[in-house]
Amino acid sequence: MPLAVENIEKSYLRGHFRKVPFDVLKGVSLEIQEGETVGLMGDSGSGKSTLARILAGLDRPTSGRILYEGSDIHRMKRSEFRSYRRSVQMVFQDPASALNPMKTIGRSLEDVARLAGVGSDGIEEAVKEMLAVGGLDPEVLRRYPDQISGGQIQRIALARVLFHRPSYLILDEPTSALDVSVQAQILQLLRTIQKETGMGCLFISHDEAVVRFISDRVVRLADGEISSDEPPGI
Amino acid sequence: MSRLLDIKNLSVSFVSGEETVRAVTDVSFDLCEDEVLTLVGETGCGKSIIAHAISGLLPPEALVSGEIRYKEKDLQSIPEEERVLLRGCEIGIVLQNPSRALNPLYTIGHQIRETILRHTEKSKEESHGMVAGALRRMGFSDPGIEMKRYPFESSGGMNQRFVIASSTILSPDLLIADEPTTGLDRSRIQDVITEFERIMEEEEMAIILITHDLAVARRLADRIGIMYAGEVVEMGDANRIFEEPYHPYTKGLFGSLPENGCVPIPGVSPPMSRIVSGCRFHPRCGKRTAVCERDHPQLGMIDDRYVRCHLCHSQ
Repeated sequence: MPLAVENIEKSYLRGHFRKVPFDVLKGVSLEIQEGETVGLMGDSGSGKSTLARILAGLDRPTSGRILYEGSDIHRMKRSEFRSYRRSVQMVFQDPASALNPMKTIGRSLEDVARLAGVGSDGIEEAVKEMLAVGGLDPEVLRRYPDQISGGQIQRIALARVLFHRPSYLILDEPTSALDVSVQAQILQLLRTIQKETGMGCLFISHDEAVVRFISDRVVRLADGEISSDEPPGI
Repeated sequence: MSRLLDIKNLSVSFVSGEETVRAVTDVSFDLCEDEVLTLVGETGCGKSIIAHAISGLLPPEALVSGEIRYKEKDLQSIPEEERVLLRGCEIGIVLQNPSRALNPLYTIGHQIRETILRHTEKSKEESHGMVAGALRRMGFSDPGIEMKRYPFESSGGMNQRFVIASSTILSPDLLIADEPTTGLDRSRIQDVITEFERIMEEEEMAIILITHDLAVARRLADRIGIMYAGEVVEMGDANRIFEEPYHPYTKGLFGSLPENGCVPIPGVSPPMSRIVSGCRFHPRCGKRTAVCERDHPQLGMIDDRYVRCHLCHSQ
């Protein structure tokens, strides 16, 4: 079933002393099919990250609907919405901020398994599975987030969200902070995983070459509106 | 073109507990007036440390050896007061994060004017006019408004252009730009590139540009130095190296680009506290031989460039 947004609008109040409404998204409609990667491009402030957060259920639109398996996610029952949040996962530009700096990577991954309902006897196996998916060396488990590279952190972020076997993955500038050789490793890993699992992806980036490489379709946002929706054209 | 900067056998290391982090090892290069040299390499390869060493901004615990000569002056032995005068007046610096380089409590106009008042005898009124001119050249149509802004009221791209305006307002002979486009979106990167192209055309300024963005390096560089694990592994004419890289790491780096198929280099860069013996790139090199694992290669001339690779030298 596709993941779709219909006529999404989002406004914020902006300003330090006098609050003025500011329209970030102005009636955006978009559909992502299973197995498809949609690249989302646009300048800073064009509304890319706001759309991503709304799709992931982390933010509510001012108006419009987010449809998953035919239902509006904000009209779902609590349990259905929880299941939606597991099915549609998000990877952020700076995944280090999503890792607890006081915990080793091993402890953080154990938490992921525990929260996914894995019993104590299956946790070790679950952590091994996450390491395999991310192509990570078991040595990282005893390290803290500040002791590993940006590329390794992004692999951990991917492994962590993929453990929930999502149907859709939203990636907000996942390679912007990485060097080109590490970026190539992450993009190839993502392609392999997508081929194996058939999940749909929304890949947000301002790097045209990266978006063209990874996407089946490229959507451009400008001033809160979709200005184009076309094949990557390579 | 006469020589402006001459760096010989520069090494920088840091001691942390029982570990010694060798951030830069035995780097030598020179820079002529009006030349643009780009240092390219992955995060942690030592590019920024070289920029900080030239600018005299390394922390006191850094262990520095080798020579850094600017206009025949040894920058390591001149008094700090002289170094401060050079920095900002003759040597301009654009740091990686513009929001951190600007003071959040002062307006943009105040901060750019400060450079002029600190280093020249100009009056406040004269400096005001100079700031307005610099901002206009940077593409701001109404400098009066921009001068009254605080850094938080501007985007990352605008702040970067303010920093470039501040660093170049006294027309330094040498501009060191450390990752000036990192974190900016494509159109803002284009603004910064355009500004550098204007500087290169209109002002007689040598530039050391440090970046991991190969597209930016290709656009701006006369000469390029590729760095890996604290060393220069290939250095020469930028166009020639982009057309035909010699070193296996340079080839791997260019092959990682999306337009070249995103073919990753296997493995990861070594931690600078545990440098491998032999060639530093050998654990990741598909063409390594026994000599690569055993002997550390020297930087030697092949055709039109310097290369640090046993294989390239034996061919």
